[in-house]
Amino acid sequence: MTLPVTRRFVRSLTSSVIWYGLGLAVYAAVTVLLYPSVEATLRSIDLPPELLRFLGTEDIGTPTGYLTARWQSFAPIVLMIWGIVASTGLIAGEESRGSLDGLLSPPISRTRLMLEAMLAFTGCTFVILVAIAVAWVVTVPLVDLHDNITTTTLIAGTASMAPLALCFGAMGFFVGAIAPARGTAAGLLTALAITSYLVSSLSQVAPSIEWMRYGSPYYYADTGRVLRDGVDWTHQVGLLGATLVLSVLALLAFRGREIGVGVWQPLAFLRR
Amino acid sequence: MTDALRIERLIKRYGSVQALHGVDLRVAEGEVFGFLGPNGAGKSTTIRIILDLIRPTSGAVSVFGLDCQRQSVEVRERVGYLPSDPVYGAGATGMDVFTFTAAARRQPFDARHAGDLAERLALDPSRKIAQLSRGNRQKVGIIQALLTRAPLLVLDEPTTGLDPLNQHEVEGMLREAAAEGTTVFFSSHILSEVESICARSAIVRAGEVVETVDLEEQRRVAPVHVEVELDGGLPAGALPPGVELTGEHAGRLILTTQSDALDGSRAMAGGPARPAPRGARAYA
Repeated sequence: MTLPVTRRFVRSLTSSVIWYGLGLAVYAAVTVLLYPSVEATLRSIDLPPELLRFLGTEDIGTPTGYLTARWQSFAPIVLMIWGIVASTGLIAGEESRGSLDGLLSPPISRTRLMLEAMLAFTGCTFVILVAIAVAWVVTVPLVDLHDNITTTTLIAGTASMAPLALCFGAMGFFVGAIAPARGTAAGLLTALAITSYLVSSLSQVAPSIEWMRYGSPYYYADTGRVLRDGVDWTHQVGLLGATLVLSVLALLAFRGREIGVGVWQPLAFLRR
Repeated sequence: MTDALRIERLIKRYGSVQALHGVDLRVAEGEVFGFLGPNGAGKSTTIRIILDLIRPTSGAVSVFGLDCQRQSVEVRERVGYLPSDPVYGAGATGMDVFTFTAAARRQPFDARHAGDLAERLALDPSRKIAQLSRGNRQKVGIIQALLTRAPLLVLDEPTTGLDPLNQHEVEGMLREAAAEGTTVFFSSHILSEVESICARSAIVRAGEVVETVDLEEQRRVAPVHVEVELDGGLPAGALPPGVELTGEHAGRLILTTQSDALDGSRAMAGGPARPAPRGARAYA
């Protein structure tokens, strides 16, 4: 099975994968390598507990707190954006550029085309995560992180962001299949991602809006807790379940989508 | 015999805008059929429904008896398609497009045939698509459609962006494909192009087929003016049926006839007759 469409999609994502992977790997490496230099300063800072909670940590001076604040609260945002940009770029992006006609002219079903796009996206997301893991493997042994933060803990923390990225990817495929154009889908989902982050973060310091965080995908990534408490599998499975549901909706919507029409098609998934 | 393409009462609405008002047409196997009309007449909409890129509001479209919506994959196995504005991945070369099409259709890639077609159209397939002009992108699209060797070619304005020499070459390629039994359905807004290569054409205007023209029949019955030189003048009652004396030119007789009566006038002249030197289209 040669999967020419998957290869074509991977090829179109290659440049983004390199830059996202390299960028996050360098950021991960620099974050770890700088810890010894900033440790004393961070330990001496007396930040208000509300601000620390907003940053997703309780003690920014410890390696766990520092990496939670510097890495675990930043990388998920980038990975959400990656999920949106990459997924909307594949099908909706091809449609906006006018090249989807060519992709759909061979005898390939729309279901298969979408599945191959999802496969390409998932594979590329995995490559980015591997690049980050390599950064941890190389840099963590070089730095004294005192307590229980190990390479494995950091890799687990990073891997726990994968369902979040995949969930936003599935949203990208779904919204891309009903929105008029790629830009509309990507814009809406970026707003949703930022809102999701803000709601989850602000709910740490504002009990009155705590209930809102349960509607935020970012909350279920457990970015502020995973290095300290380990992976919450319930939340991870929940995100993967949402990813599955959104993927099925994307498949159904794309099957009924009228290509190149440039209008909202909210009922596309009801069409054959 | 099954129609290669059959469109029945095809209606397409985009919200309040009706793009197609009940298009009906049939294209026989092996036929070269022109879909002629001005921009915005509904040609591309019809073609995109054939490819199942958009869905009809009502009506039926079938290719070799297969429903274009319910059996879309099977239909596309039998169709080589050129979009109206072929766009491909920016980083891809023409050769990438050809190999992708072959792989996606699970066909062996015929590099030699691709090379021959590229050479005929003066296209360098190793160049990136992003660096190509509109005309050269069109050539990539034409070649990838021809490489499919599909029994039906659906081409949306195939000669757009091409210079006259390449237009002529593409017309030749389509004639060759038809000679090998391929059905060709192509849209155009250029009358002379359709006239030169099609057996039949449908004229579409404002989403309706206003006329279907049998161009071969038209060519057969079209008036033909022939000059003949006869020794000793024209004997009384010598004109065969369907041939009329319409004038003289430089000492030669000008006879007007239909193309199927041309042989009679040649026989009467006892040798080769040559077209009269007036208006290229009106003469044999």
